[in-house]
Amino acid sequence: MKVKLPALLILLALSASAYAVSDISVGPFFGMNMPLANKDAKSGTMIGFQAKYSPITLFAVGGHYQGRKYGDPSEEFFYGPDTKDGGSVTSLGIDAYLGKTSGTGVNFYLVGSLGSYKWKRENQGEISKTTYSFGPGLEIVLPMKLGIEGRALFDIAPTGESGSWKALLWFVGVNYHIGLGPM
Amino acid sequence: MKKTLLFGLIALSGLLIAGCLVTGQVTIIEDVDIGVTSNSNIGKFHLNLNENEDYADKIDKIKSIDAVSFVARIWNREDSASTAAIYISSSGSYSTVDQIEDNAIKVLETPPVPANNSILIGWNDSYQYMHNLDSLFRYVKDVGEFYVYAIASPVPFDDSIQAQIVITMTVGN
Repeated sequence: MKVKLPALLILLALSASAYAVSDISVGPFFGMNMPLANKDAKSGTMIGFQAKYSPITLFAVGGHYQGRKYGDPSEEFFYGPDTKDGGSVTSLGIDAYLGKTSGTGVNFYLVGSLGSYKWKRENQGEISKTTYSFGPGLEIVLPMKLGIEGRALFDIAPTGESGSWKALLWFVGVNYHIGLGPM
Repeated sequence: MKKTLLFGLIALSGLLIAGCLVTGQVTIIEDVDIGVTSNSNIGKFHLNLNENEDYADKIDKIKSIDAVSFVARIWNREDSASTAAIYISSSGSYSTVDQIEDNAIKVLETPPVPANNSILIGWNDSYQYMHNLDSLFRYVKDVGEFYVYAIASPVPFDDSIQAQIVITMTVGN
């Protein structure tokens, strides 16, 4: 009992402190998905939804869902130019942020993500990979708890044998902040 | 700020070590001029991918074969509908339908071709008619040189086939 009571008090104090300073944000984003050094797909749009939890200002964790659309690649054949379906990618992943990740004003951070990657194309089998991405992000959080965010990500899906598919992703998002961290 | 930079450097180093940043995807298209094929004179084509400059330049740098298909125009010169098929083999000695069906690997089977008419199998559609892709990928990546046979059913058949092989592969250092 002697040990349990102080531990409980400390836990309560930490919980109250965490509630006071933590920041949870959720929101949609819209952007572009641009394959790099990839002849099997063209640039397309990307939409998604993300959530982020910042227990402290310098660190945050989160999750995301991305729906990416690839443009159709084209080639010249004996019968003339032709295309094939670029397909679409869905990705569900987790994110880790380092930098200034919460609070009103300008936030700047680096983010690294790990995601599942499912590429569906007409007449071709579904491809599932693990994808890794990282890049910088900037968010301007207004006092009304709305944040306008821009982010660029270098995305890599290893294909085995040291090969990979790469893409540059960028998006603009709007986040609603439920509680704000220290300002 | 130091932690942020360290985080980025660690991520970048890992990717460089894995060789991920120095690979890219290329598509190679090579003619497969099978021409006229009939049950009495089966059409075949010796496909040597090493004669393709892009392939020859990259053969030692192939990381993976990502997609292979055949685009083709098939003319059925008989008075009844037929279904054409493309087979591959490292041997060029087959001269009958039975020999090909027993020994070669079927990689494409077309939908029915109307009598005295033609169909075009375009790039996007080509993938749905492919067979035995694992074997075809191995021939493309590890062999690079093989024979392509064209037959049809029912017998007798008399077709003319103009085709190209389309190979998408990941290459890098």
